[in-house]
Amino acid sequence: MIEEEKPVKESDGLEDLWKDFSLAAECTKLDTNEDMSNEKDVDDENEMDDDCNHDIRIHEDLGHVCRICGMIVRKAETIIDYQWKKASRTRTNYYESRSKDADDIDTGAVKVSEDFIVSDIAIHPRHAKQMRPHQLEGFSFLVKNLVGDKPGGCILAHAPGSGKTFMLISFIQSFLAKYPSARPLVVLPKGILGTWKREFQRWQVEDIPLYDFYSVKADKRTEQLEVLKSWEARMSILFLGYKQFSRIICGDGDGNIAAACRDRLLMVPNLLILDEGHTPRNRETDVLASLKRVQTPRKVVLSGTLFQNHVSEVFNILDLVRPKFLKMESSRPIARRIMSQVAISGIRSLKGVHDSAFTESVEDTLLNDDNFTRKSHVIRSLRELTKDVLHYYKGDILDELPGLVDFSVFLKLSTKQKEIVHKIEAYEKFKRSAVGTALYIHPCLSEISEGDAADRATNLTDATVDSLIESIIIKDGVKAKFFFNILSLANSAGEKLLAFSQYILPMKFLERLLVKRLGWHVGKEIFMISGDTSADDREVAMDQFNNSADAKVLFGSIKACGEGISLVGASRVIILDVHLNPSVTRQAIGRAFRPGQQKKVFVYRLVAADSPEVKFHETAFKKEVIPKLWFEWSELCTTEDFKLNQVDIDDSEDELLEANAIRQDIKALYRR
Amino acid sequence: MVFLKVEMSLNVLISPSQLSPQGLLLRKAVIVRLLEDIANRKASKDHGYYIAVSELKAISEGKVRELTGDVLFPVTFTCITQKPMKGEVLVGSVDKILKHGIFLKSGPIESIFLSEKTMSDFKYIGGENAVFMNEHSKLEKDTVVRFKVMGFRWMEADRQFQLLATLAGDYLGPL
Repeated sequence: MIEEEKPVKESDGLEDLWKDFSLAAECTKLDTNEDMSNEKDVDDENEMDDDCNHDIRIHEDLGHVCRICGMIVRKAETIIDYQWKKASRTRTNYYESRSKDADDIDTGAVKVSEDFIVSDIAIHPRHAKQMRPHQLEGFSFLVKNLVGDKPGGCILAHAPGSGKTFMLISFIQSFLAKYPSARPLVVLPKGILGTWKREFQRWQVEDIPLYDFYSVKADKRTEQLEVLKSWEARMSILFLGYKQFSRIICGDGDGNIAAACRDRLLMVPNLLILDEGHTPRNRETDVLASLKRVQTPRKVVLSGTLFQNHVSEVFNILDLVRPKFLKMESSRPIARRIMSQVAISGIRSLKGVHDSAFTESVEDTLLNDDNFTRKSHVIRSLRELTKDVLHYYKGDILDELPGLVDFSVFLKLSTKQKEIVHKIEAYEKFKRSAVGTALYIHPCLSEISEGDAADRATNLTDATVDSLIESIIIKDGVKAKFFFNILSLANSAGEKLLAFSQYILPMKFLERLLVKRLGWHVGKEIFMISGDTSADDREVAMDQFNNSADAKVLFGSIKACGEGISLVGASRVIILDVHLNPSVTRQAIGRAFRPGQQKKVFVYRLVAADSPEVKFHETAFKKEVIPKLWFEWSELCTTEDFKLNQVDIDDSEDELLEANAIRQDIKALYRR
Repeated sequence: MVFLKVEMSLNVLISPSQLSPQGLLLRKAVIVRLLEDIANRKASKDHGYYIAVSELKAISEGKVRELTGDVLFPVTFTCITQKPMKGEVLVGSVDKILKHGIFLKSGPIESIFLSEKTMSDFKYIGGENAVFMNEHSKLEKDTVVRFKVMGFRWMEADRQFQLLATLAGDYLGPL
């Protein structure tokens, strides 16, 4: 809609009122649509008589006008859709002037707290100016563990977005200044390699070469060996993806070249940094096994979401950075004390401190124990156990943002959806999850989702989904309906929307639905980021979505939108399905709720009530509670702080949820 | 109410089937088409809502269009219009009541919004028949209200004006 506003003296004062106007008008429209669709069911025959057999005439100024009834069937400005040519984007990178002199690095001691041990590694003055208190603490924590007579690994569990990368870069440079023969190795998800390189170029005080296999397209072992030799020959840093690393170490290649690569990766690094360090948490994977074989004791794990699914995974990572962690001299007494504190069950044997028994007991106590005193004892002991090797930072940078409201919205299924829910309960777990996710969006998707993977790929083309959309009624699918309504309201309020899902089919369906029903276009109003999207396309999509006034909605595959993607243009987030790993969901929310956000962020986690999805939601929430208990619990907390609070819609502080069209679908509303 | 008398020009298109050698029938066709176009157009940003065509000044010589055979007649006429003004006092009736505020109608203007924020003394009471109430009076559907225009803007897509109203002032409120 084109708005031409006449200049008004009190334009500032009236802006709020105009926004209220738009929101109220949109609420009215939604209610009207609701009434119309209800009436249509009853008065189908009457409607047909009233329909005008339009005789269209083209008026230059009005558009397609019916000569008989005078209705403007199609407005003049919508007849021709002009695709404006996109100007090519020019990028200029400016780097700070680099200091070539290594002696510039300050060799004086830096005291950040009374307890700080004076160290012979210091932060570079340029970095020290930029660092926040928790980064200074983290730096000294790294120094304590990695430098000295008995270096050992450690974990930095800092919240996402709190500047771990910058702190590590600063440490690496100070470390290399003291140990020029050191060869740091950074293992990280491949997708964020570019981010790290950019940060390095921004913050480096010396020109340190950065090597990786991907920018030079080293696909064969011989080429990779060349890169490894270059890395070994001079002071430099090597970047490697997790999968690439484990493939080299655990691969089947028995040739000399493969063996040489393997040996270099295991023996050469003096400092091993694992970004997104929760990745190697599963003991049955090659990644964990291969990382354990690296010989240096200096291993740093970076993770904003250390706890993922189970307590044992945290201890797997602790074993990675400190081999045989629970059997160390300092750990054994505390572990034994914890075992004596946890509730004794008949099944559990008291003989020795086995890792699995220990972690099972801790998990059970944190989740299920009603004795609050015992729980607090276990928590305190856990912290004592890990305080030397684990530095936790919750992250207060997000406190400066306008705010986050996190809802779990339980929606009533439509009649058609309820019928189909009974059928899918017979499926095994993962199939039920996949089919159910599609079903809760709209019942017509369940047939596609049930098909084989090969058939599904065929069905995901635009033409197939479009033909499916022709005949459906949106309100048969409660999540599709909720999505549509929230999108309309958010759009009228001037806010952009993010929609995340685990699966491609629901997002493809909603995308084509918007194209068909609202006339929007992919690349203009609608954007999509999934695993198939290339790095360049992601960049373009992010930039356009955040900055373009036309952008309305971005669909993201929940695992593809990880670190390095910033979508601060959006202030409404819909999680279309329940992911069993709450860290993945938190990461997705972090795409919008991060530095640079200007508005209050509202999150809607959609759960289909009276369906298997409710149980998934419960399971995921329990996992969320454990790290809160472990790291954030204090004497002042009560059990209420770790529960989902049910909220009445009128008290939700969210104007969008108060619209009647949305309210009637909501069975229950919870707020974190 | 502010009424304007505006002299305007408009191109009127007559299809070949309505052409006739007798002048009066052609003149009638032009006038009918003119009234039709004015009704469809409804309003303009500069002049406001078209109320009535009051005087036909001139019908200039027609130009024949190729291919279709239509004839384009430039017509000059005067028209009475109503344009909203800031600070104007109008009387309207309540159309819809929402928590955010009230929608009003007044004459040709169908999109007038009275925000809950500017009615600090009125309280919203929800339910099947929602109302706004204060100590003295009540605003419900179809109540007649005298209000003042606080601001307006032109919506090109809908070809209408949207008005912001307020009840703060003497003699304003439900009648």
